[in-house]
Amino acid sequence: MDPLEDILRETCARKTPPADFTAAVMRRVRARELPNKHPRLRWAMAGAIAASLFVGVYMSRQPAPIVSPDADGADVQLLLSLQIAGAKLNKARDALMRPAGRDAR
Amino acid sequence: MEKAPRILVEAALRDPEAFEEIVDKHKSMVYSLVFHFFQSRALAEDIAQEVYLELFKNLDRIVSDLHLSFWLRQAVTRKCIDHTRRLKHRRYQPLEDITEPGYEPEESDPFLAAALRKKVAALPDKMRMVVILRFQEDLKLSEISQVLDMPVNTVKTTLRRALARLREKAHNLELEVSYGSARRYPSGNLRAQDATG
Repeated sequence: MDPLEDILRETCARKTPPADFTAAVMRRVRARELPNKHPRLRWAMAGAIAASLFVGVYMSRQPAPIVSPDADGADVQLLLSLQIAGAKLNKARDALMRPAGRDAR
Repeated sequence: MEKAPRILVEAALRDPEAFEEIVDKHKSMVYSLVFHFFQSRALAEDIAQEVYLELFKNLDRIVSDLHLSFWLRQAVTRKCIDHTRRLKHRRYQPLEDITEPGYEPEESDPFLAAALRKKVAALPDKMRMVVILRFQEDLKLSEISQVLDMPVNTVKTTLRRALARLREKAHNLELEVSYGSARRYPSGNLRAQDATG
């Protein structure tokens, strides 16, 4: 046997890793494993983020609402009609609340 | 690949905590390969841990427990060579050059072993890995060729050249550690090897 090879075998003999080596590996394995534990939840979250981004971008690109002249006049008409209806209701109420004697006179 | 059971792998796939058994079983091999390549305990620990993380990620690709050893050796080799490429431009001072307090070398002749370790560490990357796989893991040339993805003849030539270089350096080594050599081998033994080999 070649003496050099003998010395090399001795020199390259296996070493013992530090005592906490396995624990350190397992710590890193667990740390890496946690985010992968609920893959469905991860996909759901990714989907929700993508959807909200899409909606945000879509809304920001929508043109501002255009108010037509017809619509502009309609609100004035609505207010006027409400005022007339209110006045008529007030008159009717007053008529109902009036004492009966006064009517006779 | 061998049709062997993959009990350990199956267990680890079912329960990640069973992965601990795989780590325990092969940690000495993985750690030592990196240690002998870099001569650094810190790097050995770090790279060995990375190899195990990669294994955990690729566990379903392991076809048998024997394939597991092969996969680990290949992954270590790749990581070591990749890491040296990254270190090439840095001035790298191995921690092993500084003796750790309380560290007792395991070799019976620490001077000779340390000197030879330095010589091995000075070999080119692939050559160094061939030497380590051959003398640490006691692998056959064909097995080394599989791990390193090299033709068997190339491995054979590489190993022969590595040994020739180490023998060449053994002249100085013999002088440096003459006390150790003289105690272990008859005087001039390494020199005789140089002449013959």
